[in-house]
Amino acid sequence: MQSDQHKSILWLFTTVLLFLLILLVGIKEYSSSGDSDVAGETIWSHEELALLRSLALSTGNKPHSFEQQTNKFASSPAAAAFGHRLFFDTDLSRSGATACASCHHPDKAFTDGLVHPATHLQPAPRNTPTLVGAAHSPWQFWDGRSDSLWSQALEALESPLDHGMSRSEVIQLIKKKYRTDYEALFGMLPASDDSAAIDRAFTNVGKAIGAYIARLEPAPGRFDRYVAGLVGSLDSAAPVERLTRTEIAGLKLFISDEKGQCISCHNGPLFTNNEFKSINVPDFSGSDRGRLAGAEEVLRNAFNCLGEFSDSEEESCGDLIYIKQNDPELTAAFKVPTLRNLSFTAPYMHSGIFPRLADVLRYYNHPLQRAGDHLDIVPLDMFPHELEQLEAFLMTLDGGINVDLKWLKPPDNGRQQFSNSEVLRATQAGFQRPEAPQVVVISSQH
Amino acid sequence: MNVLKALILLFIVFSRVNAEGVTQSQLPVSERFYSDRLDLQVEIRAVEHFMAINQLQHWNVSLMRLDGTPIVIESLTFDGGMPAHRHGLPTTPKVVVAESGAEIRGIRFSMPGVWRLVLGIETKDTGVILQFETDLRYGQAPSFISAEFREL
Repeated sequence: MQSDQHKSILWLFTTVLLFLLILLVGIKEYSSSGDSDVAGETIWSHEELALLRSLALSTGNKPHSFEQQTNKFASSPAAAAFGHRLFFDTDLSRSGATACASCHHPDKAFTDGLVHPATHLQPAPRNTPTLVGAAHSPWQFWDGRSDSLWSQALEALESPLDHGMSRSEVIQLIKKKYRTDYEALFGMLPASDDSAAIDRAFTNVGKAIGAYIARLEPAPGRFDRYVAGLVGSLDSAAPVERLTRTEIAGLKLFISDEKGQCISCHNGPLFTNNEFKSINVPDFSGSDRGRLAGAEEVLRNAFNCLGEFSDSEEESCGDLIYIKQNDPELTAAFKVPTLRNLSFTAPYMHSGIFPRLADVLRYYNHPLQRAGDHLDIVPLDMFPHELEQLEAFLMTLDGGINVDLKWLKPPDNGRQQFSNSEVLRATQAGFQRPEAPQVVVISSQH
Repeated sequence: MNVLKALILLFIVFSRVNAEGVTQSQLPVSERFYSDRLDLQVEIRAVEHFMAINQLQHWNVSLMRLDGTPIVIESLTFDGGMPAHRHGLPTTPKVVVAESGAEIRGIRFSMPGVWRLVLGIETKDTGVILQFETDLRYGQAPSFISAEFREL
């Protein structure tokens, strides 16, 4: 009798468990099919969900840091603090008026809002790219002629168009102003007549700046919170993020194989495949060779991943070892930029030619096509309302910078070129929308 | 109790299938292509990231008779691209041929979509070209949609 009772209880328990399991399966299927927009009618397939997950921050995606490969100080808080001071210091220039922050303003996601820097007087000047998330790119500059943040910083320090200092002058300034910071991290500063040691010390200065920039991680935007809610990785205390019907439509276009195909190049959590593509965006000379020259330059660069100043093992330099070069496809090809924080990084494209995002999308709708050109895009041929949907989606990627506010302000020792009020608008959660940048508008027809 | 154990096991298995539909361990690490006419099979295999999007990967290439008898590869070429996007490979892979086997190092697939890949294989006696197309999608196993052998 007691045994029968036990059996009944067991069967009852099993039945309840089975019911709960079926319920759980139902809930999981329902949630993976993605009822999640404001109208509650968006359906995402498993394949689409996999794609969305691969794009989102905060869903377990941890983008690789290329800076850490070659810069052993990339994760050092002391190096980042030193780099932070250098980044805002106008003494780090021949004119005494130029700091890294002169062109990389924190409140503009570390761009400058200009078509190109005023000092860039070369025939084909380029727009200042964002530094937010740049540590996750294997290539720096629009043509990828550097393969780390620190080597990019070193080029800017020596370039007469930027800081215009010699290596010896940089080290003299460090001796005068930053001896304690430097020697605590890197050891004794070299004698003035030891050029090999000066090169090494110069490299260390670049690595401190690289460590600072590597901290500038993009913060999750509304899109990321939306996807986190879809795939169940949202913090239980966090509110569920909804996207509007227009934003969802834009997202669908963005990932569509047939329509937008944006995902082809703008993939991964930074929305870039870190490749170089030719899309015939007009520049100011028509003579910019882009990646064709950039690939040659990075291979020659003494500060590259394979060089003596790199902290990397040779096998970690795969991007450089297997670099694509001497290929006509690279002519006038430029780096696929991140699409995060676009509200703050106008004007757009390598030449800064488009003042508004809507202009960029219009160009993609009808790109410049010339006989004999290699073009990596096909015309979108979208209706105006679809372009608006795409733009609405792109705005959901604005998240600001995921870093403590102190890193976005000039440190105490910086020269007072940058006021706190100028940079304080940046916050961990996001920025205020800046005023429309003053840019020269040039018709894409010319 | 066995029923209970079975249910618990079922629950554990179900909960391990993630939203991507395919778990990492379910993704393949190799693929084989067969030719009855030429009595050949070719295997491509990667230790890591086989056919993954945006991951640098290195392949080992093996040539065999259909019965599995290995054939020594004397030289190997590799090329490819995305016909629909009119571009080639985003890297310059390097081929290493040794007695222990042939290797293609530095392959990267920078986009989802259909990639056409071409291997030119020469042995002591013959030469063959293997051309195949594969459709790559995030979080999914590669879909091999065509393969063709041609004699050199």
